[in-house]
Amino acid sequence: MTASTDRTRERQTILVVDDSAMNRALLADMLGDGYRIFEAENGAEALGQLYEHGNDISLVLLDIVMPEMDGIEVLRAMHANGWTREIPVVMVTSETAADTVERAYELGAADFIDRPFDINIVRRRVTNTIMLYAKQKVLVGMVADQMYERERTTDLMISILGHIVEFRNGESGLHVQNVNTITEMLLESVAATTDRYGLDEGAIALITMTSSLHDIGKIAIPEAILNKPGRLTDEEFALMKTHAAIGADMLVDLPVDAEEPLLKTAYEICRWHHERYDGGGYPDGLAGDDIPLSAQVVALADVYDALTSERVYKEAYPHEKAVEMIVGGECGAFDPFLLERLVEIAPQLQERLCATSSLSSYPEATVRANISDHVSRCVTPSSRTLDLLDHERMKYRFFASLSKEIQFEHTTESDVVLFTDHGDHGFSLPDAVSDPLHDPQLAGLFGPQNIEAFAARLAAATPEVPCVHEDLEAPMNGSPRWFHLDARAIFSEEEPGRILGVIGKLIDIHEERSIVSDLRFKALHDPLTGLANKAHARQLVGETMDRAARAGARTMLIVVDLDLFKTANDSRGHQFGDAVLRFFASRLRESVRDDDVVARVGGDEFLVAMVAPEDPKPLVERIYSFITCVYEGFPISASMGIALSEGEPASVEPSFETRTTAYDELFGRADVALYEMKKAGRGGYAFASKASSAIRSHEERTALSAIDGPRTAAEGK
Amino acid sequence: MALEEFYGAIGGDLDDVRSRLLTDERVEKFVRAFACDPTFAALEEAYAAGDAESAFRAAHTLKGIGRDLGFTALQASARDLADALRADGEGRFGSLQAAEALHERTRTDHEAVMTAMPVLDR
Repeated sequence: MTASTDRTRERQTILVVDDSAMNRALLADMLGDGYRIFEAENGAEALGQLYEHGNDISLVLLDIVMPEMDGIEVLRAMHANGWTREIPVVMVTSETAADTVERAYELGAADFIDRPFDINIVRRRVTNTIMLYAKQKVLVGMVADQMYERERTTDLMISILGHIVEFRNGESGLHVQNVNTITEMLLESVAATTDRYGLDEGAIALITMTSSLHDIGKIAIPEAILNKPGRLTDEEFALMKTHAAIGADMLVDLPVDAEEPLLKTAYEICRWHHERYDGGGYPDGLAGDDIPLSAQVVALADVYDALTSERVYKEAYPHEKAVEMIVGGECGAFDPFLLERLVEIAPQLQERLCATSSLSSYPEATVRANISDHVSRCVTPSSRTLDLLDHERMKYRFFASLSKEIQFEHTTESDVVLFTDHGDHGFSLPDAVSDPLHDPQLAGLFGPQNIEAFAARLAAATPEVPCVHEDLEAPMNGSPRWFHLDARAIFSEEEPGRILGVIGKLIDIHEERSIVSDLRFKALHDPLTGLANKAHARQLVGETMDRAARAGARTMLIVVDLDLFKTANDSRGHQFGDAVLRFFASRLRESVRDDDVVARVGGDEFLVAMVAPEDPKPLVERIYSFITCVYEGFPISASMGIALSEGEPASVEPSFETRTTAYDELFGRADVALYEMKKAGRGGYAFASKASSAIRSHEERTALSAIDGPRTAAEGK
Repeated sequence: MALEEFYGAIGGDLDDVRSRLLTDERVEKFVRAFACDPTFAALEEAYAAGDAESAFRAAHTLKGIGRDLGFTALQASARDLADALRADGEGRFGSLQAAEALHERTRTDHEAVMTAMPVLDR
């Protein structure tokens, strides 16, 4: 029938909470294979398991004397959460002091098992208690379901009756609904203001529901009078007025006990909803408190709705005007106390009436909501709500496991953090940790600095900004992982500013983060050599120029061209050519410091940039000789064009444009120097001067520079 | 036979234990498990550290296990020790020094149980 009865057929789960392993083993052994056993060795762990498994646990065997959080504290926490209603707790202890026993029962313990354990007693108590709770759960569910059905049917019947009358009156179709709504709002306002009338939820619901019947007597009034557009004659009006007494008489004639509350209330409303506080109403001319409250309230609701609705004989008055007319006594006298209530609800009234009239399914939807709300408040959750809850929990777990969430919850009062891990992370988290700020296990996992920083950010949370979001790298005992952390501080409603606890979740974002950083790397680097690509080089050189400027130094940019590279490709194949490029790239990288820039800016063209030393020549010389070598029989020779920035680090923070121009200018000069150099002959380096590029060749090639050697394709440029 | 001999040696109540745990296998299993139980060591540790609260808890647990397994003498001395160390209304635990004699008796009774253990293997 329901999940709760299905559960009784499955193997039941029992949570055994005892600090002594021997005791847990004894109890587990005694219970035998018929049960699934979860164990917890202290109170905090027990709460963690309860939090995680919820109603999957059929019974808790709970020791009293335990370190850190004892059995009574566990029971108190369960009681506060309402768990003891759902999950029976049997205390197991040799502690039989009367006050302890009494305290445990007060906090909802279901039973006691005394030491020494007797296997038959342990088994019998456990099965009996589980059966009892399961039966009770099913019964509560059945009662709630039946009440729900019955009340729904009753309400439906009554609104059908009300609508029949309305239909015959040719009214808008909303009159009964509106009277319902206004009556309920007035009654709630009355109940909130005074307890003079002894109005409880049940009474309010009854009067509200019964208000639908106020005009049933009108079915005895001829249609010609009901729908007459003009003013009624005195005779017609006298006939019209009989509907109140007729409606009441119809109820009296019912073969039902007249003391039935619904019938009694309906009688009051039908007969006296046209009475007025000063005795000027009909049919009986009752005055003051002789008119029952139900009739007074419905009368007021009826008048308000009549005024604000269009009728065959009148236009609709606006809301403000209607209230003004009623309070001004234009529609007969009402109890001043009720008029105050009307004025009080007036601001919300119009909105509520509009909202309900726009919902086509209003009566059914509201009735359902009202009744289920009512039932769920009167009785403990039914199997229906338990099923819904189970469903929600299952849904949540599913989504949480997809995102590999780790959820946590901390209450300031207990100072215990409960973890629920929904992912398979390859590391294990404790279920519950007390004193989390000083726990060595947490420190090992998340890092003491991270924990402290998080605590500080939470402490700074406010009710307006209660959430903390951050990415953090957790050391995870030596294999660091990235997590995204979302947390929310829970504030006390009574004491502003007091933090009651924290809820939150950790999402493992390690892989996403790795992928992103991998993609980022790929976008900025040359796939063959792993050096920065041309676009990235521009950025890096810009940064180097900034650094140089700050240090009051010049920037040196070197364009390096691999001589005769094409011959490597042509004579030994492209794979070999690639190997040469990789080798050369790493050689170039090794020739400079780590924070110097090395990039591949073309097929066989590279770039090196750094903050220039006072005298750059020795450095250039060293680089040049380092990269001139032989790779697998292929002699590597390079030509270098060098440009130095003009040393005036004037502007503090160069703009993007000036930086770009500076880069282009520097690169251009270095490139021209290289070109000039190559024209003179391969293998060597040349510094660019600002005006022209004077070539100072490595092997005193000044002599050769005069020879204007043609740049052939074979030179690979 | 070994169980009778063991309980004879320590003056324990085997009949009562049998009536509660039903089978000799179960009784023997848990008597043997007691040899590895850390509760008594925890009591000694608490005494050495001067920690009355932990000592009370250990004595209390020892009493419980002693009763379950019918160790008549041990459960009585552990019970008396636990009672002596039990916290008063204001949460103050009893004095370890004042309960030293009871501690000594508990140790002797525990020793007797441990000494008799090898009987089970005969």
